[in-house]
Amino acid sequence: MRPRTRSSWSVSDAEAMEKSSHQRKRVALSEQPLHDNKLKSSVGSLRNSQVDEGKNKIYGNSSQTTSSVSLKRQIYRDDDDEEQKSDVRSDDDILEPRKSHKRLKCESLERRREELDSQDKEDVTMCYDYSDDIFDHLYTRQFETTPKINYLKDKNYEFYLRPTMRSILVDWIIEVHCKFQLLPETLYLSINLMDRYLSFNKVTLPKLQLIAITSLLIAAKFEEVNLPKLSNYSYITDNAYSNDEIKQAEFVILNKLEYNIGWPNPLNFLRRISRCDEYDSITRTLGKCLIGYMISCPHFIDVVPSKIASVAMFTAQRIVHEDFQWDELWDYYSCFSFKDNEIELKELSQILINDIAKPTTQLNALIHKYKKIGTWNKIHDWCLKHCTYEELNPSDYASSSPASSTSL
Amino acid sequence: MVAPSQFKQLEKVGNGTYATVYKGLNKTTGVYVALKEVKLDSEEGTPSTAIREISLMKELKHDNIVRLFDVIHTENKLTLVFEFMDNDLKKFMDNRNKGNSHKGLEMDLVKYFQWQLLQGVAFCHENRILHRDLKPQNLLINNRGQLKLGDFGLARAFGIPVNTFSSEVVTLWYRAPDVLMGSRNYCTSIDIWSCGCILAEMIMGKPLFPGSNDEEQLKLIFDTMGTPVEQTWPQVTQLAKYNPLLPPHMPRDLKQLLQNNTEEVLDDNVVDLLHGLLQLNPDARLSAKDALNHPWFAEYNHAN
Repeated sequence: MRPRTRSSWSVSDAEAMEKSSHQRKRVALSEQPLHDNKLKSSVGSLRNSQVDEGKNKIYGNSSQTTSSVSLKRQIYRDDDDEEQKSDVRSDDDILEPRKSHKRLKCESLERRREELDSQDKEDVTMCYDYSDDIFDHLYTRQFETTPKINYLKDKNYEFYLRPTMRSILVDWIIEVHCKFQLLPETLYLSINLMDRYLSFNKVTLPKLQLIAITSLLIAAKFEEVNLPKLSNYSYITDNAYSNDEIKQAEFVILNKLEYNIGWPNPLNFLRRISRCDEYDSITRTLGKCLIGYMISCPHFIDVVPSKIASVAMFTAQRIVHEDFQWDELWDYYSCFSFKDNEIELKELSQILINDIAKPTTQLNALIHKYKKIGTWNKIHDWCLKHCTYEELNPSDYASSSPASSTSL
Repeated sequence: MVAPSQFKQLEKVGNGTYATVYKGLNKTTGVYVALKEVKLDSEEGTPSTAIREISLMKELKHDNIVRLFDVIHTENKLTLVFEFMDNDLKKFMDNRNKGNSHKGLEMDLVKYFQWQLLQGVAFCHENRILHRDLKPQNLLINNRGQLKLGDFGLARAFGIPVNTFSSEVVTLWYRAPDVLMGSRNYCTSIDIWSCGCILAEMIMGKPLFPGSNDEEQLKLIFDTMGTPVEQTWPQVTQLAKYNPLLPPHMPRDLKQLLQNNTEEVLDDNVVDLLHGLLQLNPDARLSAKDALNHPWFAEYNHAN
């Protein structure tokens, strides 16, 4: 078991008082009406089909979001989240070029792998006995549960949705997810469920948000220990949808997805790749933020989680190590052969960098979240320096995306 | 998806954790099935147990896991169509107990069932799924002696690293001591403890630790397996419900205990395996994969 690093968090006394058990907190959530008018009203803008992406105010309530995020860190024994706070205290560190992995060259790959694997034996949360089997399974499974097509790309596609519409939905899910204090896995699963449904179903504008909130409901039922009540999901939409409508939507989504809910979370793959640099927390924290961005922005919907994690880690490594080289060890732990896919990896990474430097859609709640943990400015600054968007046509990002060749 | 009319509902065969199970007949194919009916009148919509059970079982295709054929979703009812199994391990053992006398199974049969149980569990774990309710009632057997894991109502998928889960899982008699003491950091070891309890129960013909509440359950476990201390189980004293006032017990001779309850001659290998499965410290417990490679199963391993 890993030691907690709670002492290094800078939480206020008031927040420290909130160290009640998750159970109690959740009960309170179920019993009390939620007070977040901005969150609720944001819904209206979407429903009324007057979506003005430049003015969406979904992300208004910063203080609430922050406290629920910090509380979340206290509640869960999620080492990753804990590390986020403690390890990224000094933003400047992130841009300092760090030691490269030269020693790999004088050691055999096999020996290095054994050495790295053995470090996991001590940590029960890494499930050492089964981790290779599990990743084999997850690797296969991801092809069955990732959308086969990016429905935001081609205007002529039967189920095309404007990228800005999806961003509004995603940003809103991020906000509700914070509000409900759910796990990071639940957030990414809910976006995956929503994308899977939207990529092959026609949804009218007033129902889009119903699909979003119901995706979150299903993801929470699959992942979470303590569930928010169904009526809370209705409430958070300002009662735009009744309990019965949400139940009906749940029925429809579950059947359309044929109850194939379990989806390999990119965070699992990131953790595995992270073995290569002995779980360096700075690169992993950046990698996590980049995963969140990749899942939320419009370019990577049809990219499988193992590849998302590889692109995020590749980019994170480049941010931290000027001379980073993706070698065979990285191939092994990422299930991504650099030799065969170098161009694709670099292209996907560049699309990510370009989108962060010059977003195709607004993701304000997400960026707000990352600013709070102190990673956003460094990522953003670095991407501004390394973007190539002048060469691209930003209004037509889709045409420059190699994702068509990476579709499953 | 199939039409509900395709199945003829026959007699009720049991009540699951959140559903009723009927025997059914597929009128087209003439094959018997088990129909598990889940009511959908809840305020909360589709139960999370049903969502998990269906989603996870669709991923688990293995000879030692009951196959989910189909799901029929009607207005207020969800019917899960499973392969039909003749019996479960509990009924199978009960039928052999005449009156108050307890009689375990023949060792060959114990070994065959335990082998299949561990195969099913290993497959779940390789696919990042915890069953969390292993007990004789949930191990289904057919007339060919096949044993399959059923009732995945409490199952869940885990990630790596593993998150914390609820400690309100597993039927009391089969619940691991770390979970009884409030641990929420468990992983695959939670199912292994149950496998140990089931192995002992098959040998003795009666449950190994039949406690009536959490405290008594822990007492029964420690009476037999010894009271844990920091030296034997690091960090045990940090668990939420650790009781420092527990009377210290030395571990009892497991072989003697089992031998007193069976007419079969026990070999040391089975006792050694049982020790591996019933380690108090979850980190020290065998994995299902390791257990399958135990010398007690040499004949199966050589055959393969």
